[in-house]
Amino acid sequence: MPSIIQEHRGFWGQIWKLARLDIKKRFKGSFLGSAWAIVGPFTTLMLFWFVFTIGLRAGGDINGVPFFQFLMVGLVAWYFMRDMLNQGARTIRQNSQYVTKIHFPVSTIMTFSAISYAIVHLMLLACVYLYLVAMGNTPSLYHLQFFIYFPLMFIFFLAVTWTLAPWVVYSRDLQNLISSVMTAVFWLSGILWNSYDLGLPWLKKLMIFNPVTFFVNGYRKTFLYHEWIWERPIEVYVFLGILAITIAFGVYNYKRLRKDMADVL
Amino acid sequence: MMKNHDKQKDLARQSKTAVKISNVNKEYILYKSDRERFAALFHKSKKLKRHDALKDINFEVGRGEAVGIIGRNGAGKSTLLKIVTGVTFPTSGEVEVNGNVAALLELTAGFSNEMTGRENIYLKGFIMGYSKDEIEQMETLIIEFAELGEYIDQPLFTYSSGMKMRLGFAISANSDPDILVVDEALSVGDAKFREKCNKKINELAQSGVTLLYVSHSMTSVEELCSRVLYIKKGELIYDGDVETAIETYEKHN
Repeated sequence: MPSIIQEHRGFWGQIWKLARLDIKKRFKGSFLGSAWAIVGPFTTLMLFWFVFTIGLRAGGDINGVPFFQFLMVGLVAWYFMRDMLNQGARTIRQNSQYVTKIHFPVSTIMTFSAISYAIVHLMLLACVYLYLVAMGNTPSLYHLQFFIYFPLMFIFFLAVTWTLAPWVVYSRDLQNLISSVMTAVFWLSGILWNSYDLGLPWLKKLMIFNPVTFFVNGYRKTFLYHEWIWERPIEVYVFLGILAITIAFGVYNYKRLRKDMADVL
Repeated sequence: MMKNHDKQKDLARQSKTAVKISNVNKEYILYKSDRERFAALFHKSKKLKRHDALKDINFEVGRGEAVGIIGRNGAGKSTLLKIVTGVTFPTSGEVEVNGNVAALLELTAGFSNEMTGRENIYLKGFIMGYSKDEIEQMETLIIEFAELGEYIDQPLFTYSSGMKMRLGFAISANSDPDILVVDEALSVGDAKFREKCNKKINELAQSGVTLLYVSHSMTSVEELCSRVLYIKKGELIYDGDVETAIETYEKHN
């Protein structure tokens, strides 16, 4: 941890600036600009809704929540996690000029990228929330759990990039591997279906170890099911364990590879 | 940030040594294939081919000294400068740098093509560790020096490569550095602007900024430096007065 904390000290102004620049770059040259951050996910949402509800006639209410809303909240969390994993893993490579050409606190690259994905996520989530409120889901205390789940999600996936991004510097194979695994993660993590409704008890237990499921369910508890995070304490303990391991390994890995990155890139 | 920066400056002023390199070795691993590189992620095999870019380098540069570094291509000069600027790290040994370093090596590094020249001055300034107030003070000086005129408020992708270099040079040279690291091989556009740059480097050296100057031109080394390091195949062959260094260099070739 010390190396990463040290690199962030006194650099927050720059991190913020670079995060904004990162977003600006992503939507540069398009007339609709940042509206694309919403149009893309919205299209996917409609697509899934169509396939499940109209095509497969499977889109009934899930524990009293309309399938459309269930899907929406799950997808919004997923999009952030997908960006953090898929894009996050490439950040150092994409910003290689900060590694090979100037003296730069490299771990802040991961931070400013993560902040830029988080800003897009918050925009998207605001739209979702407005829709939910308009549909009669009145603001409640449960919704404040967002301030627990979102920071946890941010920190967890940031710690994951401390491992992934330096690895991708060494080998493009890992980048391709992550891209291919993402599809599987998407279908298997209970984004399109409810992991709590699984018929197989052992599989249900196994799902507890999947952080993506933890957050997708967490967002649904917060915005749809009005369930408190501590109502299923084992889930929280397991997640915190995984979080601790991820942070420890991320810090170790970053420290180990930091000094070689400029020579490998 | 401001506080941090001031503290750095104070330290730099206290210390008589600007740069101290002790027992520095730098070894590059030459990966033959992507597979070797991938394997190195987990374990660095002893069988990997290595190249010693620097071998047991020792020297100390006092504050305000102007030191030239000469040697043939591939001798390790650039590696040494990269270590001083903190871009790359020595395999073993200690590096001590007191004060903020301005590098005239990769002039356009840290720029963003989407932002205007003026915004880039701030971006680069922030990255170099300056506060907003400090950059505001340098801004006019930088814009004047870069001779970009109206273009300063245009995005960087409208610039020619010469213009970007000019802006890069203007920022680094006008950022009130304690230590200036220069690779003379850098190209900064036309002959007239190049002359202006050389004049600026000269001016900075005169004003008490510590200078590390890599060059193949013995005339400019003689003109600027009071001491020269001659590096050959990663080893420091000579460290001392300019004439002897150049003599040794020419004898070795």
